[in-house]
Amino acid sequence: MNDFFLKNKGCVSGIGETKYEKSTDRSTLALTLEASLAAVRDAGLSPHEIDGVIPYGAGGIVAEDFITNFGIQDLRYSAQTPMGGASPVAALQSATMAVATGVARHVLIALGRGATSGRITNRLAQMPQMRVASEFEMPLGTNAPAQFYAHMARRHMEKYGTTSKQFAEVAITCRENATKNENAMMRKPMTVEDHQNSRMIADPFRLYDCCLESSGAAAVVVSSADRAKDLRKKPVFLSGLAEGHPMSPSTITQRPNMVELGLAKAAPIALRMADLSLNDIDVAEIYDCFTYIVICQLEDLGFCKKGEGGDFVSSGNIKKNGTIPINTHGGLLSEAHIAGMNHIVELVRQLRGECGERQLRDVETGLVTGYGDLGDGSIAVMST
Amino acid sequence: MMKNLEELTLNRSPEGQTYWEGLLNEKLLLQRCTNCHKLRHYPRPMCDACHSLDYDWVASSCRGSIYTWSVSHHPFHPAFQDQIPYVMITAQLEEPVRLLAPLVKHQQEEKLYIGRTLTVAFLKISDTLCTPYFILDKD
Ligand SMILES: [Zn+2]
Repeated sequence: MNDFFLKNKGCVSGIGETKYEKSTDRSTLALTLEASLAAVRDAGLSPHEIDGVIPYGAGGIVAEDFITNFGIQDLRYSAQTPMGGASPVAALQSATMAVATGVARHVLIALGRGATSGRITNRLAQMPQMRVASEFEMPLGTNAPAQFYAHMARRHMEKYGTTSKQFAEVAITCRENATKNENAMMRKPMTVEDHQNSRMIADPFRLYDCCLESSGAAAVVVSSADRAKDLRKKPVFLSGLAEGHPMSPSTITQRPNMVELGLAKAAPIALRMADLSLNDIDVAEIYDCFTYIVICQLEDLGFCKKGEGGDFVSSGNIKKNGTIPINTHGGLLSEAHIAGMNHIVELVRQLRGECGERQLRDVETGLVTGYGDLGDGSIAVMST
Repeated sequence: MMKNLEELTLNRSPEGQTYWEGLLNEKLLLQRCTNCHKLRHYPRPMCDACHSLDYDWVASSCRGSIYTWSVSHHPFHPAFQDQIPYVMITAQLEEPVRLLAPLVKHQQEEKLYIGRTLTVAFLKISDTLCTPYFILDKD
């Protein structure tokens, strides 16, 4: 078994989404099942044929829910990838490991956000990954992701001269893309002035630097490459997969290098596995909980040098016709916050050519990243 | 505010208990590995350099400088609603660890930059909670 055993062993065979909206009366489970069923049917499978499940742990949904509601007779694999917003993309790696080794044939990855979510600061404080921050940092007044990440963003700005107007480029790009997406929550075009006039949340983050809060669900099915060939849709191959964790993953405060994320470790592995360079990548769906996090990831991916991300985004590189179009669906900033499961769905759609008005031309390879908790990263390189 | 703040102080670890008690005595205690003498923060069971589980505590100099900062304008947690806007500083201490704490109220408008020197002080909130905060040196 070589280092890159997983290359092209798994495919995304099905994708599914619900409607995305600001709030809902429906339960997280109902939404998750709706998206899951859509993904299973998109693959041309029956729910009974799902024999592996990776639910998003933070949503409170467990494998048992799928056995019960799908009527699965023999679930052979269940796992969780507790990495916050890096979870869905990290789950692609775990699912591929399961189908490549024959442990399971069709693994469902599902994530929903329903009516039961509650206050963000409480949800965060209860996550095991946040235990250290919860004990030592939350009682002093740092309680939400915007407040934690603001320290990384400010460090980047002071060290490299990155500006709030450069942050705006990320938000504006996502919004432009969202105008062509009927399922996007925010479709009114945004200007730099709109961004600069939006209220301060946790300096340096303004309102328009922050992702949406949404309800909805998304899901994908990962099948072994052999089986995917015979399914309903054109298989999308998982060519490179990796997750990466920063030093001091439990607290940003003590991190030796505060302006680098776990993705910096994962990205070169995934690209080597896929045997591709960044020049080969046609589209990148980048986890965008905050504008700065996109800039940092573009650097960690290697699209530009560390510290040059601000100039990179303000030179038009990430636009639809730029060198590397990002977040063609509008991302967490303008489509919906489905914790990056929506980024995976969008990349698969682009590779299949199913994106309608927002479809990019000649898309053969793309990448999707996840970012979560206090710096965890994940990446999948996909190709047709 | 007090009631809301107390809900944030329920997650104390055995290693953290000594740290919190130190703050009540106006000391910023740092863990020191008794085997290789590496200092660490936040409190935890094991030394990542030599993997010893043995440690003692030393008091920090309480001197350091700004590493980075944020200013909270949105009241994410009700315990800090009456504080906004407030500056939080990540400081590099003279010891090789960092500390995240708020800036003293009357210095909120001061010029902030990486390297500006500061001192750690202590705010007693109740009989069971004392929290550190920073006071900037004259610019
Ligand atoms: Zn040691």
